Amino acid sequence: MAAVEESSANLNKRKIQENTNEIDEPAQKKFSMEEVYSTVNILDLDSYVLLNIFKYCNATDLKALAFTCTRFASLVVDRSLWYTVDATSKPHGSARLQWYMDNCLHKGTRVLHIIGHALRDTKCSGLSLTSRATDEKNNKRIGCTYKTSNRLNGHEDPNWQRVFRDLFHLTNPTTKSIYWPLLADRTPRFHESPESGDCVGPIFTLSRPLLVQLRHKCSLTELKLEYCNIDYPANPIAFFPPKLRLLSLQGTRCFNARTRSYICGIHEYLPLLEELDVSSCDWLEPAALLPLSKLPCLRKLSIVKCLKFSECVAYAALATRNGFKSLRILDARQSPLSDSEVSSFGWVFGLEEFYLESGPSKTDLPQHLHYPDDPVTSGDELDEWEMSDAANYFNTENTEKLQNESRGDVSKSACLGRIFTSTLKRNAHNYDLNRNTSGSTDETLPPKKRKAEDNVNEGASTSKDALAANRLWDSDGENEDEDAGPPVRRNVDLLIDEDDERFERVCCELLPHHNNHDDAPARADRDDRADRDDRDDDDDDDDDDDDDSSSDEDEAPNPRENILPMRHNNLPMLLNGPPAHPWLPVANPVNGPGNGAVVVQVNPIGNLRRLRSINNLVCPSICLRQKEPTETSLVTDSALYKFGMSDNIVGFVDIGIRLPHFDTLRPDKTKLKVLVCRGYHTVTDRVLRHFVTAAPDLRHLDLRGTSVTKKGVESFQNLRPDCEVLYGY
Amino acid sequence: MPNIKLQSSDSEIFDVDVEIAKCSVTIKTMLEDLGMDEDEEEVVPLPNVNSAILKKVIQWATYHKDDPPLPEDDENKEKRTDDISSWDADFLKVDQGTLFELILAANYLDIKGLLDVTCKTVANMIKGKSPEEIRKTFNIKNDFTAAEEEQVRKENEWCEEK
Repeated sequence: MAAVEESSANLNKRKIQENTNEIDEPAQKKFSMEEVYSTVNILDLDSYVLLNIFKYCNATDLKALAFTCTRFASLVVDRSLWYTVDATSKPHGSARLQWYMDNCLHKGTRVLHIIGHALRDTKCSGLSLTSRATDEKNNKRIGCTYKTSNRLNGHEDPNWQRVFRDLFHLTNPTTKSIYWPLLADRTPRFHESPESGDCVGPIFTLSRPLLVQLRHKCSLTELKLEYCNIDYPANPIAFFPPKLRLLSLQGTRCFNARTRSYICGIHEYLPLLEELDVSSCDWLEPAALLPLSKLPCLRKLSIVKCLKFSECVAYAALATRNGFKSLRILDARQSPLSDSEVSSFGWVFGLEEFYLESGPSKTDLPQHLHYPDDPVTSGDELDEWEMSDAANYFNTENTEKLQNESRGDVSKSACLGRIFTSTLKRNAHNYDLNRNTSGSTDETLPPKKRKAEDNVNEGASTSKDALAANRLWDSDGENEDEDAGPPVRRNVDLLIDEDDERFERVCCELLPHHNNHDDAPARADRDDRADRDDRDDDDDDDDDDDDDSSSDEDEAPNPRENILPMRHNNLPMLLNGPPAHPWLPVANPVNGPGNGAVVVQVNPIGNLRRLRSINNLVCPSICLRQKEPTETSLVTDSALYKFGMSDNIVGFVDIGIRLPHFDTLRPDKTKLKVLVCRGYHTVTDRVLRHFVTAAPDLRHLDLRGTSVTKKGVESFQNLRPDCEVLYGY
Repeated sequence: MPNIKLQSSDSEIFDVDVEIAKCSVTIKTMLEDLGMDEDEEEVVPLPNVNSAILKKVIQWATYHKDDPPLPEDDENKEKRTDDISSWDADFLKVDQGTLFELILAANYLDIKGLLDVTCKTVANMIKGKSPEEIRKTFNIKNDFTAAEEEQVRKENEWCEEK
């Protein structure tokens, strides 16, 4: 190599000139490096540079690096690498999560992303509570029972309820005693289902012990726990890290739910929450809207594919009128929201982005189930090399700490796990698991420790953090030394079998109120009903049942285009032209579409029979024909009319007694910037006409799959060239 | 166009446009601190960079001279490694040792853009590999002690029993 360089050095002066010419032509691939050959090894790089490389690696890669050599092992635990832990590259079971918890997560960690049993596209619906034989006998396989019509009218259909329960592991109130054994075991069992293909079924259970450990380990602000099972014997929301700003529970399944108050009290436990993703969470009930609406900072809410969010006008109305103060973005695609619920969100003052799409197609639905009587294979969730860390978390220190925990000695041992450096120290000294005093650990282990510190000192900007981390760890170690009694070597199984109980005790001491919310949904229900009677002016009281159980819709073919398809519970209706009845105000002539429209507002006291008579007077062509809504007619124009008010509406007619503070609650102009409403054939050009003036901020309007016409879009864009409109199929 | 002379560790002199040389924060601050006159025929010695590497660095800097300044590092930002431009990817098709030397040079000369792209390239070599594969890729010796290995083996047995 030296010889080559010498020879090239002779030609240097001349070469420079050529060189400058050459490098001006970047497109050429003339990176001839024949004279360059270097023997620099990756270990020759200094620690700062190595850390700079490692920061581009995700959690799995970092873990692999830690097992490569001692230098990397000491570097990988640098705090700066573990502020954000993204472990979504492959499904993680509890063993992996535990590894991160024990070795990597530290006080400064803010972000943790973990993906559970399945990837998003495996369409797995988890583990069934019934056996495969029973289901086959009753012909209740998932493919044939999951029907659209059932989804809409599911409440009356006992079979549907059963299917739902089986699908989403909701325990029947009558079978409360069934406690489904959870797969929190560190050796996962895979239920091989014929349909499942590569899917291994649910192997990761989010349980309270894990959450409590997480809470103590670090104060996360961002947590994604997607596609895992949640063990739900009591309200787990109380155990989530309290400073969370972003929480995603996408695709999670619930076991052992005794009540349905899944997220009750979320506004008390997670008051800082700004973003919540509960997409594909089929256990989430519409009643959840009420606690969600109380979250003071909630900016973004994703309820994509929440199949139970239908016929929940009561909850939606209440939640949107009183809560959701900070909500800006709502993503409700493929949830079966209908007119009433959608129109409720017109009351959310700050809403800027609203995403709607007609329900999931059959191929989007879960395709397979795992049954407990399927052949079970024990598999390794961890790769072979990852097995080596098994002792790290089933070691004596941990058990001692757990005992400390159970004594309520929480403050002293805020970190439950072991730090990887300490594991290393132990590694270097023959894994003295049976050592009697932890003091000896520190005495016998200076070389590795010094090495770790040296490495850290080489670094420039990260060194402070790393040193601080070392100090933190050291001090943790001291605490632990003080607390540790004579170490008891525990059987591993102990941790699994008994921790629940121990943690229960810890949790009771930590959070004395965590059990007090079981009766809340019932309460909410009562409130709701009372409230609706009092103030939900939007509903027509003539037929109370209509509100809850079925959607009524008027689909009359209509020669007069300004008349909205009308639903009993969801007025206003818009009338075109001068009113034909003497006690309707005469419309002012206003230029533009919808000229002279009149809104008839039916307040609770005004009943439907009376309205019918007005209808006949004003506009005989409206007929109140009931029609079963289909998936693509759940949302109609009238729902979108509730977003802002159009200038073209020239007058209100109140029928019945008007309650105070009603209209003032609804914003005059909506702040919507982005509206996506796809796949509803009942949405027509009238919506465009409405949004010309009702939504001054609108920049993006996606109406693909609806009945809007080219003509309508053109006239809209003439008036609103600033807004992009997508339409057609 | 004012030029500056850079001297590599093996005493080769490179005549480089000042603006290009200034993408190295080290050289830039040196020029500012020393107040070097642009007319002066001063030679800037770079004892940590050999000529071959310096040539590559200059090549990179010339191509990237008009790049907008890089945004500040944000701890919370997602770290992507798939955003390496095709020119850079071609440029970095070199043997490992050269790549590491480029990293060292970029670090020494404080050229953030080059450091980022080279580190990303190395990170891509690490991704998705097991420890053994990483050792093989980078020719790293497994320096865990025999006792540690033994322990690992034992634990595996213990796992298999379950």
